[in-house]
Amino acid sequence: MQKNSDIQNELLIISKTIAAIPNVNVYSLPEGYFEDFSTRVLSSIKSLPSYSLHTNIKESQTYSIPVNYFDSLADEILFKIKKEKEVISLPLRNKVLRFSIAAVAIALLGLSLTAIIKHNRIMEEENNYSAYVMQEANRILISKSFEDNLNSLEEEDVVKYLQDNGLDVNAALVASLSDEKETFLKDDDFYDGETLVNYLHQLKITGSTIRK
Amino acid sequence: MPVIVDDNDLVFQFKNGINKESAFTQIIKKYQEKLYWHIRRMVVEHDDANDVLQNLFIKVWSNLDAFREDSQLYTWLYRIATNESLTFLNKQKKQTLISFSNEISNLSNKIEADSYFDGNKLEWKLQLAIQKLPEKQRAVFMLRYFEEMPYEKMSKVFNTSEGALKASYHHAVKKIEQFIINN
Repeated sequence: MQKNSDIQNELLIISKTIAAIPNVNVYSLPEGYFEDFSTRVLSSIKSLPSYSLHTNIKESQTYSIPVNYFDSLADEILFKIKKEKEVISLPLRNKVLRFSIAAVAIALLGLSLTAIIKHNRIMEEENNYSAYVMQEANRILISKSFEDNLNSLEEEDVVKYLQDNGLDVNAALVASLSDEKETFLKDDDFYDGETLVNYLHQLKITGSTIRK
Repeated sequence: MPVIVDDNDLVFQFKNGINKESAFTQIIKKYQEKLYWHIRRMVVEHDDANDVLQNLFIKVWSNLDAFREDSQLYTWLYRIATNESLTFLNKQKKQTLISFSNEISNLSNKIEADSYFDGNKLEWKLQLAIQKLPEKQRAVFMLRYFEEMPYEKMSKVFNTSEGALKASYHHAVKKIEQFIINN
């Protein structure tokens, strides 16, 4: 290989001996070494932990999820929650669940009254039944014993009632799993007797209306 | 016939994420042989040269985003190649606890172990003589003699004045001449 003339001239001035040495490459290297070198380097780069930092995260989605994973996720979680609740037999006394029940307070009031009636083995004539229920409801409101009556409800009765009335039992169950201390509701007595009376007033269902 | 893309365009494409891998592949293909031979003459063995060259390009990938375009990619790559080769030799020295004189004989032994080595040929004697030079002077000689790099570019690789490099090269040639005459 011919040397650059400037460099060759410079070399001739410094040393004629060195300038006379043929400019040949004495070393050998594996055949085809450079053919896939860039591929090997890029492969090494991609195996580095820092590689993702240098690429667009959207383009290099590292994790994959099963097809339609999110479509069935909610149902699977709720199924597990229900199953767990069956095994552990958690009491349905959690205040969060009771909040959800209190959201349909009037209807639940009727349910609790039914439970009380069943409990006391009082059988009324069918045409007197509604009047009796209203009377009991009035008594509970006046005595402010709604919470005690609510707590005495059987879990099965509550769930069945919610289902029969097209209410979201799953949502109530999920909410009931929350730690009471972690819930955001501090005024957790909002469904006491006084509040309920106020609520009934708003709905124009006063004590006198009930008595009628 | 492959289209020759300007270094500045390749760096621009890499930095802006436009065909980043493609731009980097073109940089590798453009400089792999030149850098390999520079490294190979420094570390002598192919396997060592391969390791150094791969590490070099991995470092380039990690640092090219911060590369300042006020210097040339070409001189920047040679600077990294020289530093990586010297670092490799120093690591090897520490690992084997060999002294400078032993390091010379170590590299000389590697040259003599080459299957194509012929001690009677001047080109092989030149290789043995080069290994007698101090590390940085060796690198200066190699860039000037083999790569035919202008002093102006060498000054950017070594961050040294052109005058100092001319003097270093002159001394290197004289030392090599002495070795060849005496052997």
